Amino acid sequence: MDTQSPYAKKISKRFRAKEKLIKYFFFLNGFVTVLLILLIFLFLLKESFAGYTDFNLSEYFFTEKTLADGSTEKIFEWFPTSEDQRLSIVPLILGTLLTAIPATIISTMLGVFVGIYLSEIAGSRLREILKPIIELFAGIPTVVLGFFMLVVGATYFQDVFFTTSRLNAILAAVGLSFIIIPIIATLTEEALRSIPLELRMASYSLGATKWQTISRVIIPTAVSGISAGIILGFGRAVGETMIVLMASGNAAELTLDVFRSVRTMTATIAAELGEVSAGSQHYFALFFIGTVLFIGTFLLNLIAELIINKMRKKIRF
Amino acid sequence: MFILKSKLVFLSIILLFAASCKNPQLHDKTVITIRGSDTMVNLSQKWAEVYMKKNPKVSIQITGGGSGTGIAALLNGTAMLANISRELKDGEIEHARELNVEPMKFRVALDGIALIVNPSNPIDSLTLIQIRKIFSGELNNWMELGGEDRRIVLYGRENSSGTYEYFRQTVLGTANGNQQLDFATSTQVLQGTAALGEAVSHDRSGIGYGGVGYFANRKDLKILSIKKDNNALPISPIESDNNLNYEAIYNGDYSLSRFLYCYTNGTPSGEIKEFLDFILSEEGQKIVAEMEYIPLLDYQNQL
Repeated sequence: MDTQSPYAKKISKRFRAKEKLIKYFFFLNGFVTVLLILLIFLFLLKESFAGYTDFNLSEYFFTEKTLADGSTEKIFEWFPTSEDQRLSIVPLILGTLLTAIPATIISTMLGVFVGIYLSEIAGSRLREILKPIIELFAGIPTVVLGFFMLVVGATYFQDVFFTTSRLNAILAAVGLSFIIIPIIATLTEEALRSIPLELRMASYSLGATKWQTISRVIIPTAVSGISAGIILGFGRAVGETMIVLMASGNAAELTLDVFRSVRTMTATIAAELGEVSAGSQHYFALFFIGTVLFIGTFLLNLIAELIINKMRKKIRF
Repeated sequence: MFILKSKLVFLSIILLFAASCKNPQLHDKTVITIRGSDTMVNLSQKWAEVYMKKNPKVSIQITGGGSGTGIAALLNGTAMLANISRELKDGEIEHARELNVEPMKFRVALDGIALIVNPSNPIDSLTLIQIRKIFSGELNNWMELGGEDRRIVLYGRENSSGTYEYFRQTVLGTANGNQQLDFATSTQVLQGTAALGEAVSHDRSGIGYGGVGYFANRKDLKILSIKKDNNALPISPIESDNNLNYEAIYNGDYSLSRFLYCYTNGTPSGEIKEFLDFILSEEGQKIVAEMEYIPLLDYQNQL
């Protein structure tokens, strides 16, 4: 024993150092990630308010135009390169909502049912085949989906709905739902599967049928998990760029009609940031849009995360 | 562990070696600075790219900023070539002479904009005023122009494109007062001429605009003729055999065309002359066509 102990000590010392090193390594990684996000956010904030000195923040929402009779009228228009510059992001926010909300509705209708089917009805072998296929949908490059909607979807839609605008909000929404259905379906399935078997058994033992069990026991228990999935899907729809850039038509109109062309916040940044001259008011306005998007999607993700955490606690009786 | 280390050392030596090889000797290079029109930036860059590949000793630096900045840079000597999408005004030339700068003009390409509609659209020609009313949203049904009873769907380019700016200046122009008219808010913005052509070719009520060169041979699109005013003859940028109508574009009978110029200070010599010769050569003019502008017919047309 006596001869062994210094060696053992050496080993354990070495091990401890290694353990510590690994610990710091992982801490550093986590820290860098958080730091990066923080820095990105600070950069966005800095850039979006840098041009604030001789500029009224309200002009990011509306410009006031004096009419012939002396009264003023609020104008919500996005004309960043006009001589008489108008930088209202209101039509862009509307455009984002007009594509993201219909997309979320379509995806919820389909995604939740797919999730229920996968978790409760499909046999285990079928599920093993179906689940990866559905998840594969989320992996389609969005530019491919956008191109598909632009070339094939648009013509088909116009033939069916007789829309005047070939490219419109609802077309973009359908394109978006291709990537949001898998998100909602997967999260719904996970929420349902996290419900303990005892609940199902108890329901069956009281004489409930499968449908009754699903509709009255399982869905009410998992409702917060499902809604978290829907919120996450909505967040993705708000942040998605390529599909809306290609399929929405990009007309910055102040409209509530989903069959008209709209311009989203993401598409505006993508289309214009490459060519804008740095330091101009237009440039700052694009960063302001970025900040609004960042805060919006951050809040949506936060809410979804909180709901999921709350549900986990609730299920753990 | 040792093997890994030695591998790393070996790899870094190779990388260092590669990096030192790659670094070209910059001080041997002749630098040509070009400044000016945003419309011409992409075209100039393409010229420069090909030219630099052929002449590795020349480095060409191009910046945009608009024709105005190009003139200013030529006058204060920060640019050797100015890209300008219009002719210099007399005042500007006088001002240049006061500063001992003698601007020399070289036509390098033609820029022509075609108005396109779906082939099923019965309308063949429009006046400039009608076009302005259409794109500013004043007219919004084809029936008002003698066509079918359909809403007019406008297609345009992103606001950073040179075509957008040129179209806005020449067609929308200034309304009463000196305020520049803007495109109607309902104008759909498409990414690039290809997407625009694709959309109009499928949309019976659509109208759009873009480089003539790009649309000339498309059978799924109709290029409209343009009348300067109500009494003028309609003039098409293409001939019946789908070739460009060079004559009309050259002498300005077709309203939506313009020359693109390079200006030098005095008679160019040395590297600048060689670069200009390249631009006006057959190869340089081929690039013009590739970039969706219209090449010059004769290659020596210094005026």
